[in-house]
Amino acid sequence: MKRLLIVLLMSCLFVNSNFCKEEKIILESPLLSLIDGKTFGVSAVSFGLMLKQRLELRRRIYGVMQENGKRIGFFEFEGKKVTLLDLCEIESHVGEDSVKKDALRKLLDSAKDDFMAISDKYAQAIRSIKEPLLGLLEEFVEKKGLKHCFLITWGSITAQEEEDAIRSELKDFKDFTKFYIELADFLEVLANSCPKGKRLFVEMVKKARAGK
Amino acid sequence: MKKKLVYLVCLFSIFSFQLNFSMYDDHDEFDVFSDTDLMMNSFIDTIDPNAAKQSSSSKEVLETLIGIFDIDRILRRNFFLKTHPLNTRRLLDNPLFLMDKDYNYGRWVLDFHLFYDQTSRMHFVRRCTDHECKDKMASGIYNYLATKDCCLIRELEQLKEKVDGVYPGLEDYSVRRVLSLFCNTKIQERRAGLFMGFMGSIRKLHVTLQVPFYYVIRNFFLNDKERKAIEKELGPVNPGETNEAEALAFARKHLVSDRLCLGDTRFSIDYPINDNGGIDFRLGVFTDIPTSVSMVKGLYGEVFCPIKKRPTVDFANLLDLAGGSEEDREQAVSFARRFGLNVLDGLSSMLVDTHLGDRRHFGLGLFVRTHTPLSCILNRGWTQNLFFKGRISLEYLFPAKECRWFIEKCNPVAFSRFDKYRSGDTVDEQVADEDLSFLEKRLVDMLFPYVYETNVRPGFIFMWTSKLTHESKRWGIHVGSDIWVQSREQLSDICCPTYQKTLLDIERSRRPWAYQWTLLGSLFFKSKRKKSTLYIGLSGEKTVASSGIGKPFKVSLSFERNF
Repeated sequence: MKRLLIVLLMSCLFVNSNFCKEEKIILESPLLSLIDGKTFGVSAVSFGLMLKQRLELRRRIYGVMQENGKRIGFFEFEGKKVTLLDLCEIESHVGEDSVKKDALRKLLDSAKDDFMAISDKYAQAIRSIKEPLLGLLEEFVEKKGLKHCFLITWGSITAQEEEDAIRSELKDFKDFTKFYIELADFLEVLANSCPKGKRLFVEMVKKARAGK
Repeated sequence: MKKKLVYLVCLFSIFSFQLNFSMYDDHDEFDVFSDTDLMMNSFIDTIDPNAAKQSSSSKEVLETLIGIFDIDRILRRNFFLKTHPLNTRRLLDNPLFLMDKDYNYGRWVLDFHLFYDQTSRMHFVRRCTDHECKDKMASGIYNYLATKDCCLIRELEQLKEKVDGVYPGLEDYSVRRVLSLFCNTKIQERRAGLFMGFMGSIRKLHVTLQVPFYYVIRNFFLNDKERKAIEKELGPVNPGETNEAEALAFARKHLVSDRLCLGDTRFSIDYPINDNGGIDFRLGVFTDIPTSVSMVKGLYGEVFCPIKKRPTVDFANLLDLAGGSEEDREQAVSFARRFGLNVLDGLSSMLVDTHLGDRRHFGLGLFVRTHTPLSCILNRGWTQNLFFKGRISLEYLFPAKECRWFIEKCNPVAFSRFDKYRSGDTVDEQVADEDLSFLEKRLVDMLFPYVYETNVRPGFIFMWTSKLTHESKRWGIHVGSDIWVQSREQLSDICCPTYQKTLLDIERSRRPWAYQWTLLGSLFFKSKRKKSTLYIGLSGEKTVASSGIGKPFKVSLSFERNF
């Protein structure tokens, strides 16, 4: 009887975990049907680049995964490795400590420089499709139910205004981290909405693994 | 019982679990989004952004162009409805330049006409007789290009809807509305210059030599209302003075053609065949010698040569550029702009380029001149100085080689090859390459007619001018009318590849027959000198009815010296 109860509990747990799992957001813009799986659009490599950008963002938000399964913060603050989430926490308790405030401001500036550096490789490609990308961002924001999303601002400004907007609009780590999380989520949703690109990428991974 | 219930719950739970797993698609055997999978992370880290720069395959391109945009439905239609050059009347056929005054001082006449001739609406086709605005009907460019073709417009609108879904920003424009703004574009021609003539009398034989020296300019034309409608719809590109200057520079480079030239020469002789003291009949022959030579080209506009070297389109490259970096996209836009301008220049070479004389055709004709005193019909005092003067001529223009434009007859069946790209069937890459080449060629064929040297036989020109004239000692007046008819030309010996001879749509390349009915008048004064008589006259004519050619008006100031 006890064994049965254990099985029952485990089963219920699985069912619950299944039901609790958040429903995947799929973007339905006609643009995706045009570019998904195409060499000029979302090819295996482009899909991989999307994942690469997402991974870079998540490394900064949650930390870099180590072989021992632990994460280490990407940034360094007061001699410690910290993540963006840690920095948000520190920022919320900083109070009137002007030295700490100053150090956080400097770190925020260098984090922004770092964002410019990691997105620079893709910036040109993104800028060229900014108008259609805005449609995708709007769809994502609507389906995700986000409010006051900097992503929309970022998608609707010109390439020249991008850096200024990031520097002026994202005033603290809270805003900056929110932007990072939303951007990483958007990239995941975008990648999920490209099944052909995903299939090509998986084939590429399989080939690479078989090659090894 | 309890035990059974517990088992039932277990089974349901396991079923749900299975269902949950089956919802993952087959390639979720590893999670590409997992950032805890170090192998995956290190693989992702090795991806090089430059590796994304690969060329699209033909199949991919066709799946996009056909499967998504249905571009083949547009390409199976013709953009050019006609490909012939427009009919114009030669200056040598102008009744204002007939040397038919009563020259009674000496044997020689030297004649100079300063003239201006304008055709505001050249006709693209023969006049449609069942329409109220007949002249306007024939002079709109929609007779030549399919800018009013409902099927083509429908296909273009459907394409635009698909593009709007993918690339927003053009929703405010309607294909039908934009095309309707340009479909009434007209071609205008103006000629101005000096027409020179010399006539000599050797006994009863009259010998005449005539040659014009003139400036000719031809351009696309839209009136103010049409231009404002375009600005309202599309907006000024760059408002202000710069915009106007840029627009003018663009027009001069692509929409206007002009040249200064010496025209063909006409040599004629006539002899009286019936001179009974009253009615005078003279029979003559004349020949038009192609002496035309261009002195200066492109004084205000450009000279447009027929585009013999056909451009090529590489859809795969264009799509790759469109999906690439900003620089790549600029390159694609620049290609599209160049291609568009090439199409425009090609059209200008067909319609606007000013040709020399009568396109190098040698002409030979017969004419009869009549001189009938009105007093022969009605013998009254006031009829003493009134005469009917007439000239009837028939000229044959000999064949000559010309560059002519042709399109291939479109075979809709050939487009069934693209159905497989809609149904998603497996396609061999080699077949896809061939299909893509066909599509690329078709786009070029649609917008760039083939240019081939062709033997053109213009046929006959008939002309009948009749005037009532009054001449006194000091002045004179002529009023009359003129009928001019040109037969439809024939094309042969087209210098094209043998396989293409049956494919060319020759009918579209033949100029239509044309006629003009013109009213004319002139007033002149005679000034008697010691050794000559000088005639200074002002003449004008207006075409009141025409078909296949415009309705020009002409004015001329003449100086004739009889010595």
